[in-house]
Order: sequence, then structure tokens, then C-alpha cells
Amino acid sequence: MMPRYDGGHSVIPHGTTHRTLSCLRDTLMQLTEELRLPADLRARLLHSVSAVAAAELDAGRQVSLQVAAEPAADGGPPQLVFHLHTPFAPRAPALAGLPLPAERLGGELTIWRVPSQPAAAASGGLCAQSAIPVQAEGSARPASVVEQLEQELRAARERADRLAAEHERLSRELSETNSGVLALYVQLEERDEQLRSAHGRVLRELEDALRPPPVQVAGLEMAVHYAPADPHAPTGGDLYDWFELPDGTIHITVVDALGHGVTSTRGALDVTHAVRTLALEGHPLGSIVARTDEILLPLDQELMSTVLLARIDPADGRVAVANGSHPPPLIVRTDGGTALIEARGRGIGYPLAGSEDVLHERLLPGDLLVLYTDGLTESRRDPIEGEARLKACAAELRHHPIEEIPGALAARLHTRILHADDTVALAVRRTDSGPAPRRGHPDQADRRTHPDQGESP
Amino acid sequence: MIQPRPLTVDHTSDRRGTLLTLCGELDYEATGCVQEALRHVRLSAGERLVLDLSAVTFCDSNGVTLLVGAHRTARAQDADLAVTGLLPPVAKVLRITGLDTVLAVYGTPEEAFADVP
Repeated sequence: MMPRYDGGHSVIPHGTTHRTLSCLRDTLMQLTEELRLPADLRARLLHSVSAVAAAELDAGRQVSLQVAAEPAADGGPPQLVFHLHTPFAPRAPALAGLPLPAERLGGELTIWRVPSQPAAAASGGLCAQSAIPVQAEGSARPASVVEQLEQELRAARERADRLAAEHERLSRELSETNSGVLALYVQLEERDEQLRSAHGRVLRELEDALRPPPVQVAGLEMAVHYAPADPHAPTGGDLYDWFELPDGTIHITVVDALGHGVTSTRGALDVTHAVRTLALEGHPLGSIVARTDEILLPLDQELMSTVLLARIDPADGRVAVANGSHPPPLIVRTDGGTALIEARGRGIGYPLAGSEDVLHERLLPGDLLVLYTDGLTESRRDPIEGEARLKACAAELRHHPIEEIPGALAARLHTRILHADDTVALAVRRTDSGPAPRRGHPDQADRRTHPDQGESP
Repeated sequence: MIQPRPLTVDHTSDRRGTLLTLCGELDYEATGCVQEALRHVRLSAGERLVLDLSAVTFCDSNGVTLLVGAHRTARAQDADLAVTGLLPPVAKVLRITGLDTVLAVYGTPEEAFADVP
């Protein structure tokens, strides 16, 4: 009757052999009642042992049940170890998914370890129990099967209620945490937006300080497009300046200082400011490039900058151009004809700096003058093709509103960028409502209705 | 479309000066390579530094800066600079920047060395 296995334990207080599931269950229920196992643990153990034994008993093979007390490894209260012996099973029973996890000892033995209960230990514990079959002792009447099931059901319901309450509490906490995190995100996003807009405002103010707005003067309208090669740097080495001279002519400077980014802006600023001072002092246009080089090079040996100077008289449309290594400005006539004003010369920091000559042209009402930096024409790494495309695009755009022309030129010439560079495009159009000619023509208002002027904006 | 390729510099000495043969695109990426080559150029007074640009397909403002640097290198050693074999895009840039009047321009290095002043 006693199984061979002794598991290394000196005491085997219970051992029974069973041929039917109901018999095994009855024995287990009685045992667990005596051992004062809590209802929940009792139900789990009963279900687990029954599940492992059922296949054997259904097949007519007997199983044995043993219970032993075993000292806990950590010196705590002893454990109760339930052994289910299935000596005739063709293969080891599956143990996955049991309500009370089991361990396998060899192919024939399955064990469950549960903590021993204080009440059981106080009443003498397992070791005090008599051997097979287990008999109820003491004055307490053993619980009936129905009572045991009710206990188990109550335990299960309490556990379910407890879990439901816990679940609800956790869900509430999670939702509070989530809304807190969301609020934090919103707050961070708002602060980011504030910083971005403050940053953008400072940059715009800085840019405005560097790049003056178009000069408001009767007879001319002007607009500019500026785009640094690095979209994260507010300015590059390209810069422009325009202002009215005491004699009423408009002076325009376009520079392209070596390098990219804000560091090259310093060189470009030095050049535009030196040019502005010299121009306001009345230096002849043709001398300003060379003089700027003389002034600035002692301060900065590394400075290299192209510079283009244009003067336009709003009264009669006369244009004078001086140059230092800069791409030539383009005239676009109202009929679409184009001409480059190719003044020769070398820029600041170049050998033999200075404009070789000053070229003169005249804008008729409706004519456009386009000034630019090489970023506009060299995006495809071919300055010859770039210049040809500039002429064609400027001719197409010549009747557009002036504010649209520089940006549209950059957009059309930059359809494919192989070579990112700072880009300035600047357009000036002579309007037919210039200041009264100095000789004095009384019919200025009538000029607008002249058939030849009909195409002008 | 020819893909941009890194510039190479070939350094040869001539009894009348030094020849640097440049091949590729003369732009920002070429700066280190050309400056390194210029550092090793040793000229005697009256000799000529010749840059053969017949295989240079593109030259931007950075390339122009390098040419000006070469001009300074030659001048610092009482020599002069000549450029040879300009392709149309490079000739265009030299004309716009006015460097074509400062530098001696020839068809080939042989012509440039034959004409040392």
C-alpha cells in the first residue's frame, strides 16, 4: 500500500490509493478540512489534483495520494507537500494551466507545496494525525461537502470583488496619471511654442536690422527675396543694402562674403557699412570698391567679398553700375528683351580690388532691373545655363507685381538644387509715376492713358 | 549628368616652376585638398605656378577663393600664377570675378611654361 517514494522525508503521515475520482476528491476534501486550508487554496488544490489524476482514473489506472510536512527552506513555517503518484501513466501528465502550479519529481510524481496553516499546527499538525484513512477528530464537526463548496464559492466571490475593486482603483489612478501626463505635454508644448515664437521674433528683428526694407520713392518700386543656404542660420554671407542719397538717387549694394552662416555675415556687414559710409560721403561710384578694400583689408586679412553697386535716378531712370567680382545685374525691358550690365572689377580681398569702370544704362517706365547673388544662378552647378534661365524667367515674370518677382525667380531657378548657397534676388521696376521731371512736363497724369503704357502694371 | 566627384590634385615640378593638375569640381569640398597642395609648393623668384584646370568642370566662389590663395602663394615667393585649359563654366566664373585680368590664362601647361616672363 505505501508507495516506494519517501522523498527523503522521515514522516509520511498520509498515504492512500484511489481508483475513482470521487474517492480521491472526498479524501482530499476531508484532508484539507482537517489541515484548515483556506477555501480558495483548498479549491485550487482540489481542482489541480483532480485534473492531473482524472485521465489516469478514467483509464482505470490507480493513483496514490500522500501528504508530508517539510521544513521550509528559509526556516519559516513548515510546508505541506501533496504528492500525487501516477505509477501506471504511459507518459508524464501535463501540468500546464493548473489553478495551483505543480512541480514534477520524475515521470510518476507530481507535487504541490502549500504553506501549513497555524490553526492546524496548533492542534498538533499533520504529524499528530492518524494514518490512513483520515478520521475526523476533536469536537468540531467536519464541514459537509455543501458547506465546503459554499466556503469556496464565498472565497472566490470575495476574491473576485477584491480584484474588481482593485482593478477599478488602478484604472482610476491610471486615468488620473494619463490626464496629468497629457496636461504636462500640453504645458510643455505651450512653452515650446512661446520659446519658438520669441526666438523667431528675435531672429526677425535681427534680420530686419541687417536687411533694410525697400526704399519708398516715387518712380521706383522694389522688392527682395533672401534665403540663407542653411535654413537654421538666420543670415549668411549674402547681404544687400539700399538707401536714398542726398541727390535723390537710390544706391543699392549687393555683397557675397566668403563662407556660409552667421560668421560670414560679419564680413558682409563690414562691406555694406563701409560702402554706405563712402557713398554718403560722396565718393564717386567707381572708386568705392577699391576704397572699401583699402579700408577693410588691414582689419581682416581673410576677408573676401564680391560687391555690386548700382545707382538709380528715379527721375529719369538712369542706372550706373560698378562691380567687384559680382555676377552682372540684368535689365528686362517691357518687351521682354534682356541685357546684362557687365561691369568688370574685383571684389574686396581680391587681387587688384576695385571696379575697372562704371557702366551706364537707362530704365524706361516698366523696365526691370534684377540684382542677385550667385546662389540664384548656380544651383545647378552651371553658371552659363543659370544665367540663360535667369533671363528667360525674369522675362516671363516682368509684368508680375514687384513683390512677387524676386521670390518667383528663386522658386523657378531652384527647381533642382545641386548646390545650396545663400540667395539674394532683388528687383527694381521703374514706374511711370516718377517724380516730376526736372524740366517740368505738365502732362504727367495723361501718360497713364497713353497706348504704349497700357501694358505696364 | 556628371555626378560631382571629389577634386584631386597632381603635383609635378618643372624646371620653370610647379604644375598642379586639378581634376573634379573646385568648390567647398575641394578646399582642404587644394590648400594642402599649395602648402607644399616651393617656387624660386621668377618661376611660375601653373594650375591646369582642363579637367575642372565647376568652380564656385570657394573655388575662386582657392585661385586667389594660389595667386597669393605664388606672389609670396616672387613667382606668378597661370591657369590653363579653362572649360566654359570656369572661364565664365573667372570673367565674372575679374580674375582673368589678374591671372595669366593659357591653353595648356606647356604654353604657360614656355611663356614664363
